[in-house]
Amino acid sequence: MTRLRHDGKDSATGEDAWTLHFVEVEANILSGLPEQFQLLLANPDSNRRVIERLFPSSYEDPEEEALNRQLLGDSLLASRTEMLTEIREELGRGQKTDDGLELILNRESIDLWLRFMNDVRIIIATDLGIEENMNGEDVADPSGPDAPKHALLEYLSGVEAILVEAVSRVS
Amino acid sequence: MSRDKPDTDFDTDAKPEANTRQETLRPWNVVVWDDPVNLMSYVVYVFQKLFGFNGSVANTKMLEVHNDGRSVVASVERERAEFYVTRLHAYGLQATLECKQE
Repeated sequence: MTRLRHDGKDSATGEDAWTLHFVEVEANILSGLPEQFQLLLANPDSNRRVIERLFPSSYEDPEEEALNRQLLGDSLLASRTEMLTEIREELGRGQKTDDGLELILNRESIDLWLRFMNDVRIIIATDLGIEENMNGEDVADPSGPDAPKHALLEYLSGVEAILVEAVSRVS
Repeated sequence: MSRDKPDTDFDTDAKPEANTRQETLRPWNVVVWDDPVNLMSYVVYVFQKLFGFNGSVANTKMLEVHNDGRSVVASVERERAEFYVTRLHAYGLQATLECKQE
């Protein structure tokens, strides 16, 4: 089970620091997510609905939106790619423990993990066609073909909630 | 960042200069839309992070999104509004900008 511990202030930087601990199975799943995400970005036609949700329109007017996209160029895609690179680096800096992986986080890296996990949640939820607000009543069939995706979605929601609470508490 | 359209020889939709300037100066609303995926606590976090809202204001805005389907989180000049919308998208929130009506 994922655990997050507030370690107080880092003596060198004076910033708040946390230790995030994933058990091995969680660490293995997380380690594969950036690659899958990158594959989706490289092949946007493989799931156009998800791509449109990740990169929504800024304007309702199609003409304005086309101009806006022209001005933004590749920056939106580059921003997501940069996030994935940083997540891989974060995972690479992790310390292996007897039962999993530990990451030392600061406020900035928690923000990075929040954006990443939220994006993955969006990808899964859009792929599953979730259109209503998620709540406890919508329990997926544990033997259904989408059960692993639902389980991952629920797991990431839990970790995201832990991270948000942690940074909010020390604000 | 310029919002000007490319020059054309026959711009039949051209607006009087005064009106165009007025539209440029008019504030633009940054609108956040309800979404079935984003956690309420995460939305509050993003509002605090991007707009510097205190917890109470961020929570009120989040509840507006949740209950009313949308909330105007900022009314600023157009380029600033575009910047905010792009940042909100980077955090996975559904956001658009619209010209503020008088």
